Amino acid sequence: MSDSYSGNPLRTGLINRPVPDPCVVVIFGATGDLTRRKLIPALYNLAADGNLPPSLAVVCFARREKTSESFREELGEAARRYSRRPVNDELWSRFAANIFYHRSSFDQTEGYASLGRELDAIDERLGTRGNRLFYLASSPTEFDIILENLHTSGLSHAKPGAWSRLIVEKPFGTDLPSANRLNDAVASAFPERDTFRIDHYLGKETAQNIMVLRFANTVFEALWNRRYVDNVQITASEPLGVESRAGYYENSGALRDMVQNHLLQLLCLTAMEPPIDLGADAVRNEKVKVMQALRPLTGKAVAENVVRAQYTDGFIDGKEVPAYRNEPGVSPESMTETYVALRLHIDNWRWAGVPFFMRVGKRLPKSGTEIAIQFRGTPPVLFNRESKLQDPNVLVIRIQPDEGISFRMAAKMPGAVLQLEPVKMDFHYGTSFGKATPEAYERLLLDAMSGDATLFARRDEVEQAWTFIDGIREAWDDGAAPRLDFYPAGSWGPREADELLAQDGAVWRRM
Amino acid sequence: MNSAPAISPGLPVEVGEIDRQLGRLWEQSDAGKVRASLVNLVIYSEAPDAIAANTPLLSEIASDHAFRALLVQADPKANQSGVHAWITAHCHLREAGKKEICSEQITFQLDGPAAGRLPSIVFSHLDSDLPLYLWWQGELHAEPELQLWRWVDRLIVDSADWSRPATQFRILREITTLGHRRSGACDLNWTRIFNLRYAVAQVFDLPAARERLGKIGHVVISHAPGRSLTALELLGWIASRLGWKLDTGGGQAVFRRPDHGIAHFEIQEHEHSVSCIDSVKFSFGDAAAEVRRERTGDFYLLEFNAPGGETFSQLLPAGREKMSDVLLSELSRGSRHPLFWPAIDAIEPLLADA
Repeated sequence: MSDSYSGNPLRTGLINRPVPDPCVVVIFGATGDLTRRKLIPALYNLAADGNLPPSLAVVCFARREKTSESFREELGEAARRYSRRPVNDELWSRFAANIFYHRSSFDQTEGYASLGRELDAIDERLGTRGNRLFYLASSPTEFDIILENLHTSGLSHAKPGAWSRLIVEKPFGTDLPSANRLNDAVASAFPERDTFRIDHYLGKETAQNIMVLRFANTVFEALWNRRYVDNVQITASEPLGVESRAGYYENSGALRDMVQNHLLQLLCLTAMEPPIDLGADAVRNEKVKVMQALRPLTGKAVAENVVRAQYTDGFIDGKEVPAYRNEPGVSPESMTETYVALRLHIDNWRWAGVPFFMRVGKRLPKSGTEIAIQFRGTPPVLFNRESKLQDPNVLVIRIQPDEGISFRMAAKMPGAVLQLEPVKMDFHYGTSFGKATPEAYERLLLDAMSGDATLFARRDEVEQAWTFIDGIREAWDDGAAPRLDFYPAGSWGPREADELLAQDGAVWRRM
Repeated sequence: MNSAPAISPGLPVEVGEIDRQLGRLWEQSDAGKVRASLVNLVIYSEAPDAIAANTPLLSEIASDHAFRALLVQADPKANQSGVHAWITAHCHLREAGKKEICSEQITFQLDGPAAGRLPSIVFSHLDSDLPLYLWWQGELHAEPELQLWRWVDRLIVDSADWSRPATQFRILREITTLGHRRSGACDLNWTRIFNLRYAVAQVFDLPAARERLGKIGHVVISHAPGRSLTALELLGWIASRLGWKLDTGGGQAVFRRPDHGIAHFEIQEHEHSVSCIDSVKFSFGDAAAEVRRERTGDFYLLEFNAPGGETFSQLLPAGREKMSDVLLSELSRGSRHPLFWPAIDAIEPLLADA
């Protein structure tokens, strides 16, 4: 809980969350897309909702030649374009007045010394009390030098009575050694408690609602185990191709881009035990335990449990789209996977024997991320005696879009004939709650300013995830796993992914 | 009162046919509509224009907070007993390409002795399992409707409408003790000042202002005509949070601070106010703070000035004061309002029945 909140009796009972302290947010790599599309609109929306502390300044640290005035104008245009709410001119001009552009290259030590002087002057002028939130929004290749300079310049050291925190954008490395190097570099400048690794999936309302669904309702948790669950399917699909990200994606592929972070985080929230409280470490401890119980996939096991594939040309929404290898910036012989399907096992008391299927892909027919809990069928008596046609119960948590939860169950068709049909109960966030959902970055920035790390990844989570992913990558690189498969753009992936589930008598859920 | 309402509340139906007719309404609706509900919202009013006034209000609320509404306009003094009912739905398209979200409204006009059948009317038409919020418009009855209160999850009132606030707060307090353990009282007048209370609290997050919080010597609250009770509730909140005790012994009422100092207060009515509370000013002797509603916008301007040129200013959202916005704010907050009764207690001797 922040100092402001606890010391002010007028705050008591007003709102059920900590109020962030006055601070300066320093964005490294501020001229990039992330600042314009996400960070500044998120901060502006926090201001419009009255959620910012009494004093807040933003210092944009970047190499390009700009002035604070010109950059404010650029950001104003971006805010008007990307903010989820219309921009109020008066509020924007007050908010923007505390945005400052600090021109320096990342490797220039004098740039950090002058940044320190600027931050002190802002503290003096605006009452930001020496609190700093450093945001690494630059290319990951710059992280090391920025961290080193933050350390040597003393900026990473909190002043007495103040705090100094770091937000790191993904990717947190490209494999375990690089993640370790990055984490070491971070640790040399910031203690773990002041390090906030952003996985924006965790800032989504529906991801946060997974714990509420499980632990604030009686019915689900009682069934949330190997006795009642047949399999779990986690899907992240998108119709988009590689777009303008070929340079990054060629080295990353779907496994590193999506599975290592977003999907494994969703898996952890789905499979973890109830934490002892809602504190950051209690929640993250349970997530790490899931990661530790994940059966490693290496060597031959990768061939048996992982399908990797790449899209060929095809049709999306009736429009012809090129094959991945024909996309601009992609090698014609590229072996990068644009689709990956995995069968995972969590070897603990709750989940032993329950397969967790995961799939992620580009150029799939629909956009959506969801978790589907497929329950076991009823015994072969009564309605299930004659045939096994009855569809088992499925609980679906839709992460995006159309956030919500649905439950499929059997019902009798009206009439003299006994015929069962699946029917669906459906909860849509948008239907029940008309209020606009805050962007994930709004929640995450607010939490970081308040010092709440619950929705951020901890070092051991990231390293456990890379350990798991590296096993698969190594098998692919060693040739221990089978070839790359292919699927036409606009299909639901390669036949081999269907066969993977068929081995367990399961089929992919149709989204 | 047997005349039809000025604004049509929908399809007239026999009371015994309401469920069937609602079912038919949905059967006949196109596939682009979906019924939704988060709460049973019962509105009771004895005002003769209650149906005309509340039907458009419900339509506005439905766009953000789905409900099943039971709107009851009662005239207990009517000579003839009568029950009339109408059904309608308020549908809103929240997002292009998505289905329209519809909230049901069942409207009743209860005349004469039938007005006493409120619990029966309400209980027969609730959406099961959803919370029951009762918005009682106007003055509460001295004889509480025990059968009804026990099932109410949230009793909503608006003390701004009360001509006898001392009596009404006493009745409200009695009623809330009758409800089940989750029930609570919500005064929309209290909801109205939520953003203002938040803004005032924000000013005192500043170290320079906070160190003077225990030394407030003077509070001036400016309000719009007819909003003196809103101003008093704000004053009561400040006093209760800061441990001030009202002292009416010396002619002019003042507050005694915990350090035995005195905090004076003024409640000023301004004819040309832009909102129900225009400003709150605090004097500390050597410094001053003010939260003022901006004339042009939807914001509060927070200002603090101390010796040596220490100043602070910030804009915070003020929220809108349309009744639909205030009600939506209350519905979306879901709070038990633990600070409300201490605030009322702090200013109780200042409440006067008209």
